[in-house]
Amino acid sequence: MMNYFPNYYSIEDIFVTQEKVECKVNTRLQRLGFLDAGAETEDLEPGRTINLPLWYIKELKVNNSYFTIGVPDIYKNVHKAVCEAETTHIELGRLHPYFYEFGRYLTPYDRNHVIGRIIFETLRQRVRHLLDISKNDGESKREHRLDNIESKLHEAGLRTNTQYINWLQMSGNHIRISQLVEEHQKKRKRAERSDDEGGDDTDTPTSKKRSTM
Amino acid sequence: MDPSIIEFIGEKSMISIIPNFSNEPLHLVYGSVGPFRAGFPVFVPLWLATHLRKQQKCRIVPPEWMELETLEEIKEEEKRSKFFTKMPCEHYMVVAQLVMSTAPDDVPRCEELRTIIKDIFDIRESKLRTSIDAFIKGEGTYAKLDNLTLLEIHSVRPILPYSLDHIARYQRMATASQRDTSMLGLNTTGSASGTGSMSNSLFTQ
Amino acid sequence: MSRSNRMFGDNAFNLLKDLQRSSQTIPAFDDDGVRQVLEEIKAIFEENVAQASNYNSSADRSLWPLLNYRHAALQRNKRCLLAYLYERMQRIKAMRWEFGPIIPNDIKPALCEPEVQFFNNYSKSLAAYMRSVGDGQGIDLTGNLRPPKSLYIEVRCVENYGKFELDDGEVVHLRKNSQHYLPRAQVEPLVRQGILQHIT
Repeated sequence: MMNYFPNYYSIEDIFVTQEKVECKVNTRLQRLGFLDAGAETEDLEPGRTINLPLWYIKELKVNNSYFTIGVPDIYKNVHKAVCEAETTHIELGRLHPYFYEFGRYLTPYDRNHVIGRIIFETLRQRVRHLLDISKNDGESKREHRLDNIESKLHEAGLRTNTQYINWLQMSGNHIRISQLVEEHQKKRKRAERSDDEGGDDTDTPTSKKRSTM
Repeated sequence: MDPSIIEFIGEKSMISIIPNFSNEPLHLVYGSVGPFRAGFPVFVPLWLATHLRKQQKCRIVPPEWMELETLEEIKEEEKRSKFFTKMPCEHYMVVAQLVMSTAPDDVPRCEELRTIIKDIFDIRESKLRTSIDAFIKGEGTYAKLDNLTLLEIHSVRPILPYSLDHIARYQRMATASQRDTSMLGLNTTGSASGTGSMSNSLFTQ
Repeated sequence: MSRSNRMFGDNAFNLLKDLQRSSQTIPAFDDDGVRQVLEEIKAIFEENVAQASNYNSSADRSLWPLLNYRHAALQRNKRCLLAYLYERMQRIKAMRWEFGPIIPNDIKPALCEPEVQFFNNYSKSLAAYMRSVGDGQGIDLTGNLRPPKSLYIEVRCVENYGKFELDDGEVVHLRKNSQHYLPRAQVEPLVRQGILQHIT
């Protein structure tokens, strides 16, 4: 696995920048009325609140005169936990699937300068937890616990651990089926199974195999 | 790095065997080994030792440190010390794993040794995780990791460097935003993005 | 101006969403989706060009936010489109290493013609490179991905494969569930393809 780093072709970064942010309109903007779902005017009227995607916001100057970018509450809400160094239990993925990257994009627009510190401190506090749960798979199965970046790190940790365990069991040098081939076979089997009606009878192929062995 | 590659590197370590055959020296790509004289110990690379042992052509002489008392001491020292102690062999895990799985009969009290070596590895690994945590939360800019072996270093790769990359990115972001509030919205996708501010020239025809 | 303009960039984003969510190794190339995005880019560009000429000749800056927004939307469309093609290209490259030089029959229809062309050219380049290294003997870079432990390995057939000829001319019959002791280097591709299984 490659480390995730937002570059031009990064699909993850494109997903993050698709996220919408609440913005307040400061001045009449000609013929931008279509951005306001709740209005029928051709122009965008001052005082309205609209949702704009990050991919547009990041092209705006922080002190632009058109919009005031609203900073979502999720970051303020974890502020206390961060100060008390109690972030391990937070279900970060539930707060926002891209907690860190979304926060990183919003950092310049945050007049109180807390988001930047918060995402930095949160990850700093949670790395130990990520290292620990990479040693056993069970813990992480709880959904919404991790944000996208953390899941990626966790996957990398789990992979290292599996390789180590395989090695201890002396199967590290075995030639294995290619990952893509294996996934492809599984998908094909799944498709075949759902094709014929008796799809729930999944036990048959394995028991047949066992009897001929 | 996959442990099977670390094993491959560790297999170059020399180990003593007692062959039950006699032979001229072998001239291999990496150098020569032998001559072999039945009943006399000779040093060979670990990969050759395990290969000959599998064919019942030798007995492996376990390295000096592969002995209960020595390992007990190492384990106690490792528990006491704040830092990582020096291991008797850079590839202690690889050597132990290969010797004890190919030639358990050549190693006295093999099962006990297996457990204690695993203990030492686990103590060191948990120490590693604790010191990583302290390092990341502290103000230090570098960490001293003397005496860690290759396999141990790779137990936190790539998750550790990846995590540090992200932490560094967020730290830069946090400090930059405090310094300069009038900066343009983030454009971290690099110069190849072509998403810079609009230039008028694009629209003049 | 029509309300549908709110959807700027959404078609392009959906290309990537479908690509990520698809359960297939590589989903079918979305001809329609790609064409729609190209049309949107063209439409935005033409509108902006028309209004920008006006913008440049007068002192009126009131349309600047609109031009700016549409330009960002255009760049966004372009980025999504390129990322879509790029991600597919990465998967096609990975297929060469994992499936070998022939695209499996059930995957081929998912590729568009230029992608098939790309696969073949990539495959040829890789083969030519592998022939050129290793003191004129060539090295199969897709083999021995882990250090080999022995020259021969024990394998079990996962499916009926039929006759398999070894380099020395010996022919083995690979029947489902049969077990064989064979040269590692020669059977590695079959293990990687899931036809044989490496057992201890």
